[in-house]
Amino acid sequence: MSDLREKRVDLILQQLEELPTLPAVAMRVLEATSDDVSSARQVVELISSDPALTARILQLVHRSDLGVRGEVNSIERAVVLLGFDAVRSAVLAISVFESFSERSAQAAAGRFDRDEFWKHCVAVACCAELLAEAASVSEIAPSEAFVCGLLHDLGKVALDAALPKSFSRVVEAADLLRGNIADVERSVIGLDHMVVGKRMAEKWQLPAVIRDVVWLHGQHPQALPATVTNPRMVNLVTLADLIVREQHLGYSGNYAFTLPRQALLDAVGLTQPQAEDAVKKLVDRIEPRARSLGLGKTSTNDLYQQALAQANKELGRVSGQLASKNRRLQVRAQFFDALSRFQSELRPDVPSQVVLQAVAQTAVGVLGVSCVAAFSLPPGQTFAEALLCDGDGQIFENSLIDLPRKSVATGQLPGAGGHEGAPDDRDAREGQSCQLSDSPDAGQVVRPSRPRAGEGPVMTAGDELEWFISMVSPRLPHDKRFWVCLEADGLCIGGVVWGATSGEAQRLAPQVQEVATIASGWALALRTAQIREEARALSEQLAEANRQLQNAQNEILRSRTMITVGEMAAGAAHEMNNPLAVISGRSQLLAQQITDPKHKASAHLISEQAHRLSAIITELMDFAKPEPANVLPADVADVVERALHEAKSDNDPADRGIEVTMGDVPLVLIDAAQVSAAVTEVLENAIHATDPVTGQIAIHAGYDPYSSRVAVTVTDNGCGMDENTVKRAFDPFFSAKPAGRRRGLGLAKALRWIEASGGSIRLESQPGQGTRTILLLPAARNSNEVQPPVQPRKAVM
Amino acid sequence: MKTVFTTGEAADICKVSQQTIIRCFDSGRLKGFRVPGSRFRRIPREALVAFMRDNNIPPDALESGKSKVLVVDDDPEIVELFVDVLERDGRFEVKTAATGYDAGVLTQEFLPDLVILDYMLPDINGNVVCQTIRKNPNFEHMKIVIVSGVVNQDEINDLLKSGADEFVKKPFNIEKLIERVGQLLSV
Repeated sequence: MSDLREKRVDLILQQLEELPTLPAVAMRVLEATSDDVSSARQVVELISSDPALTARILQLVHRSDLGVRGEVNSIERAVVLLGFDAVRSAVLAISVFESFSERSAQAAAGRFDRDEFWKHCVAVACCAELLAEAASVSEIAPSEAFVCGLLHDLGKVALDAALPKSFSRVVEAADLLRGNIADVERSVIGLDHMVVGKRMAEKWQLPAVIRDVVWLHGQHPQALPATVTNPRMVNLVTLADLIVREQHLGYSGNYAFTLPRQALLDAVGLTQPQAEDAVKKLVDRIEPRARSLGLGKTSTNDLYQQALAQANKELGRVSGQLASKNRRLQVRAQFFDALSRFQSELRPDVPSQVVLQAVAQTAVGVLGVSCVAAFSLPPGQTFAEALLCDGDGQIFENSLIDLPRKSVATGQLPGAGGHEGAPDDRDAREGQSCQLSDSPDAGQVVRPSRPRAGEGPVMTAGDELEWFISMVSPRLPHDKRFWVCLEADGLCIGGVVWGATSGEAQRLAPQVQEVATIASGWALALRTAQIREEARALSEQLAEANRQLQNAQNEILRSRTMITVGEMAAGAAHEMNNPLAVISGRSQLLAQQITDPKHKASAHLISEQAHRLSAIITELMDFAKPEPANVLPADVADVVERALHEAKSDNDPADRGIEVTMGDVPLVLIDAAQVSAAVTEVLENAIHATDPVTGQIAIHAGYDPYSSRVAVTVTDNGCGMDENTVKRAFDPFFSAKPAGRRRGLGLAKALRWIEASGGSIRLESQPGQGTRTILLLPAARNSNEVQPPVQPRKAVM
Repeated sequence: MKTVFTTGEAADICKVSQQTIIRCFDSGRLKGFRVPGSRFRRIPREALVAFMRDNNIPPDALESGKSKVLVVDDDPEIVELFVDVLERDGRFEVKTAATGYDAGVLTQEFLPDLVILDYMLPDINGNVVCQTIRKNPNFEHMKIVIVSGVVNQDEINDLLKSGADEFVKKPFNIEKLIERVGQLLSV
């Protein structure tokens, strides 16, 4: 299962590699700063050299409310009027936006609302800028903060562009569960937008600070890795993101508000009043900034400009094709050209996929055959990354192929069955054809071995490559096949395979010699790329582990608090019930002696109140140390029905109209009594919050197959709660009402019960608009479970 | 307290003639001993109580007509409350103890009909006191009511298992308490 997931992630990352690159002008713009006059001048020249971009920038100036219509006709002038930073941000936004615009046409049908999403990005950018201005620390320059804020959710755009259908599902599930969208991404897609964004940032070679913001925003300040270039910037954007989401500006897909605001403020170096001040200015700033970035409404004028940009892109594509044809001619012409081309492909941080492509293209160039297959086999993995390259150097198939499993009974390679011979023969063959992987979790996987001493690097492809050739053979149309093993650290880490007829094999002899010469160079480059990918995967796992650790710490803190509350309640029960007994007993004796009815009633009241106090202590003890949950499969409909009955009998006799819609949900694994008591508490809250006449309460149950959870949502249109109340709603005895309030243990108890059944509760509310409570319950395993889509054994992109 | 009675005293207490007492003594229905040398008949208190119980003679004269209740709690205010409540009722003779040790001594001496026992005593837990009382066959008829401010159903079940007749949670309703004590003593 973990293999499958890894592969899936790898395929997605390949998809990402195919996303468009950022135009050169945008990259250059990123490096330049307004302080550096000469580089600013270069950028102005660079923009001016791109007519489409120039047109867009000038148009922005016209649209901005500067009262200089018609006068601005050059980029220099625009820089003077708008400032360099504004132009820089505009170029960046346009470039990023247009890089994805082609893809977004397909994605338009999905659930991801791009307009609202860009609004969120601009709002975060403005907020980060305002906060940076307030902090006025050199590490977080306002213009830099703006760019970081604008691009922080790069990964979501990339996911939407690369996997529009999956991402649409993510958005749907996040809307239903009201959780952190990153968790949903990991369960549906296998990786989250932070990691994807980091990959995009690396591919686009964005500055390290932007990469770190994209990758690590949303982390607890203390959970940031030590190697982050500018932790303060990351915390700043995290804070801005939190504030913007609290203000409900735009759409981010994230509904979780678990980050500690004070810790973030401290990390950035701001005070609460400073932050509040920045928030006040926020809304006014967003509108003009969005306009100056060209993210407003599209007018007919824009359509013309977009057409221009499109035409420019077409030109770029044609010239790109010409260049690649030229490249192929060169490869074919000479071995050294091939070699130099191979070297030129090897920038310091290319992925192994690109190295493999370069290897295959070089091999085709050197050998002059019509098809070459190449594979990369990272040590410890159970699958190979493979591709095919045709005679023109075009890559036409990328795939992942499982390595064969060693058959336990015979200890032999599956394909080797026909070669049963004398024992000495077998020893020789096993040494030559297969060896067990030395990685413990690879288990029974058989890897091809490197050549023995005396064998040339070029060999006839036999049984040991059966698993590979059977997968690609239709594409290698010859009966005699050769391969060269790429080896490193005494292991086969990849190979290049080609086919030839007998006659051709003769003719190819000199070229084969050259291939043998270059093989060690290929191996070195491939291994370097593999190691880099392993390191990258490790660091990404580390960041993820950090995130989980943070959640676990929160959980530990909460359960420790519960234990303390429990001990305190037990202690209080012992210490307080004695005096309460005296108060109650003495007042009862008094009541017996007093004849004046008014005084008698007072004495009774004292006694009653003492008993009431005692009851609260008992309730608190039950809350801190509840009965253990008796978890069994249960029907959500029954649970809801029971809760409805309870809530109605506990409250006003008038039969409130409560609308219940049950989706197609499986059985859930819960303590039905406790969960229905929790639903009752939630319903009672909804009933109390709504007007008896105009109030509307709705219960809905839905199922998310990816997290195997059933969501029971209770929505009301009552008085709602402000943000602070929502945050503390689950605290025992907390109540927003200063007087005439109920004892506030209802939701706290509900949470305890739901968690005892392995579920969770989320709360969303807006003052005056109503409250939505979502109870997530674990679905029973064996009842009509929906399997996530299974990856085929051989996956072709 | 008087522990040994003459036949005359016993006759007064039981409101029968001295001859009847002597007859019962001689036939062995009323246990006792003779004074060495004089051979006068003497009746120990326990024997007289048992005799009166066996013959359905009201114990009023022997025990001033009152049931004996021992209240054990380390909180003096609580003790005082129980004493006030029980004495106001008029049917009970009350003694008090603050520790498990005192409770043990008084149980032997005072021979209470009912013990009101705090669960959390400074030296020993109520359930241990409870078990100790139940081990002694002389205290077979003694009733035990445990009171506590901490309520845990499992603990209550254990207490009732270790021999308590009733559990009362602090704070309590005094009328219900008196009613229940009365039921236990059937007075």
